[in-house]
Amino acid sequence: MRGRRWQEPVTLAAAASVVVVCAGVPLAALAAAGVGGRAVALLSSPATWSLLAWSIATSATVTVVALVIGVPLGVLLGRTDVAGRRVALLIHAFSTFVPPFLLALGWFHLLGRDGLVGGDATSRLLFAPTGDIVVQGLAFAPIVTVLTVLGVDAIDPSLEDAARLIARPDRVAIRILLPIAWPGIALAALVVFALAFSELGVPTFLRVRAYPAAVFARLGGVSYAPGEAFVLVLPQLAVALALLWLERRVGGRRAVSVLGLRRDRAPLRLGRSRLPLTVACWSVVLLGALPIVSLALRARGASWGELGSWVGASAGNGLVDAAIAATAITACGIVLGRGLARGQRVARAIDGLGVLAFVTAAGALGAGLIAAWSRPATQVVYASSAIVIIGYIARYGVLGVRPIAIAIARGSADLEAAAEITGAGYLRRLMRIVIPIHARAIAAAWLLALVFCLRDLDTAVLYYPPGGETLPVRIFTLEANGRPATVAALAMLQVAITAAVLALGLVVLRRRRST
Amino acid sequence: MTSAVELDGVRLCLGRSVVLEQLSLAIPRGELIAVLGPSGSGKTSLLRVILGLASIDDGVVKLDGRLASEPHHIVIPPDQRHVAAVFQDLALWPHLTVYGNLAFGLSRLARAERDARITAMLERVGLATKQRCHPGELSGGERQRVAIARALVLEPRVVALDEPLANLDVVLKRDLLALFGALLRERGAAAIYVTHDPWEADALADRMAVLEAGRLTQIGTGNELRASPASPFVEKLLSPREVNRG
Repeated sequence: MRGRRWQEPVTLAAAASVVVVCAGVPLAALAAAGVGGRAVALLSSPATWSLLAWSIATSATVTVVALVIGVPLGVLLGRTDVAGRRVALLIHAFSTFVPPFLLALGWFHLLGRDGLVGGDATSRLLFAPTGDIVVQGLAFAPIVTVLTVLGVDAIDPSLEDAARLIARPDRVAIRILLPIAWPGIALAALVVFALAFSELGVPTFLRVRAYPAAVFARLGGVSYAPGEAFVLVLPQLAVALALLWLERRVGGRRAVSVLGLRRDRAPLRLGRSRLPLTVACWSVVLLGALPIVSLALRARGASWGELGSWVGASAGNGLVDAAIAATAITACGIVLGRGLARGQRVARAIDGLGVLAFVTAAGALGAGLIAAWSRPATQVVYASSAIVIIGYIARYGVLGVRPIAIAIARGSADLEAAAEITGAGYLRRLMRIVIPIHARAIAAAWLLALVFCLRDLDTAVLYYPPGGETLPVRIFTLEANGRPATVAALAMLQVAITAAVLALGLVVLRRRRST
Repeated sequence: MTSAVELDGVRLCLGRSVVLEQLSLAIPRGELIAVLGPSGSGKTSLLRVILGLASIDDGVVKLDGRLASEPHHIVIPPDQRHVAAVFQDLALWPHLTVYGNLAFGLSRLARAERDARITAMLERVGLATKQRCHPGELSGGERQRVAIARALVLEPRVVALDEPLANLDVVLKRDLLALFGALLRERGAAAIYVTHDPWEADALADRMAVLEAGRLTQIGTGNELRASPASPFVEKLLSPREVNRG
């Protein structure tokens, strides 16, 4: 046993190194590249701060919209007897895994001037800040819904039972379930704010000004000036640090301990309110699915031959890059998630770095990756798909750590301790005890990382290598010039790939549960 | 006389397993009955049926003569049954203070009346100075007192207690048992006390009911059960050695 003491620190160091190289190095390079004489000039411009304030206000409003939709829906679909709640949750959650700008495209085909039900008035409303906020709010609401479901589902059933004896279901939900589940809901609010603050595709498509678009324009657009981009992302970095501080303060370890899933509980009975609340829930769920339906309808006019030439290798690129990144994210997540669940400082620090990279605006992280890797000595990496994979690991690394940490924290540490006293070293315990026991959570973390990498546009669009673009990037670059039906068909292909990956993953997860 | 709680031919299934089978039991107002049985015998499920938290598959449940549950239908929802409970893990809401935990079920009362009732109850259980504390700031014994106070402050017709003293040391258990007994008797509510400890049952209850594999095998006073045990389990359960272990 003594001879194997190196196993834990070495494994932890290896996992930590991956996150540091992928996420820490770009953030450090960014900070270094942004400091200089030009920084003062650019950052003292009122236009910069006005745009930043606008983006923060928009993101905050999107967060409020997502909370207003997601929290009640989460409680109703998670803990009550709303008819068809599991199917409704699946449909509702699906739009989280579709790039938001595809949903904006769907709304355009529905409400745009030539849309299925659109006209001048609806088009004006869509191509305006209100349209941007509503589209993003609906796109991100499922994140709040799902984290609320997980939050209220993890509550000790006896706390709910004790309240049900003396209060109606609505009061039980508002006074008992939501206050206990609030760390999970606060985490959801932070995630939504971070994603909205990063969002490039929706405001660009809807012609609404946004800070990420200003950064993007200087990195790959008409106003190419990478030096300025490095400076412009510094305020985004400051916002990300503020979000990290908030996450540590309101969520932190509690967010790990309050999420979970129990399947052995009877739902709260809504009685006479069941029918109206079922109608309300399904209305919101179907509203969120409308843009995908409108894309499907628009795609009917596409020529399949033309579609094949437009897709090219992008679908395969996206799947391969995402699968490699998800595997690396999960491998690191097992080691760091276990460390986080056991309260190890290194794991907590690296988790903080992962959270920082996740809440940092995608444009800022992308600029950091360019600053760190776009050098003659590292062209092997920068000119290949490796840079896309590194970007995915940087941005979505936390999606591997947190779910696995939650699963391990909810289990008993004695299971591992029992193996330890028989002489099992760290790696043996990891392989024979931790991984088999938490196989479902690990598989779920892999699936989550995979679909988030598949839907990524905002990071990859900044530095995809020649011939290595992913499908969302291909759709984004074609959107302005391609035939609407072809672009809609490409969007539906992205939806179909995501749906197939999720369906396959859910079948595997379900099978694992029954064995 | 109408019973406070009446179960007639109750059957409860969870999935494919039968948890309660042909269970009939009547508890008059003011009586304290202990339900004993080995792990998995259906003790907690019986309480959940009475509380309205579990729907039965056969039989009926009546409260004060009113139909409360029938097969696959909870006629009176849990919050309208006037049945209070003390859960095994106490289920004190961690985000509310002691006052908040007691006040949650009294929201329909005027503030002055609510405060008076809570103050009197907390004085009765010796926690008058702990009103502003959260459950996490209390000792184990104090938390048990809050749990019983939260149940009794509602002035319920029936109180269900699910092994509330499990995992406590003997001295604390004895003190709390005396307090529980006194409080339940002075309130005059029917009480059903689930335990696997015959000493607790003997010390507290008027009658004992023994559950084995979901069936009620015997019901009577401690002396009656000892005099003619209906099964080897009852005989072993109430042997002097088992009872004196408390």
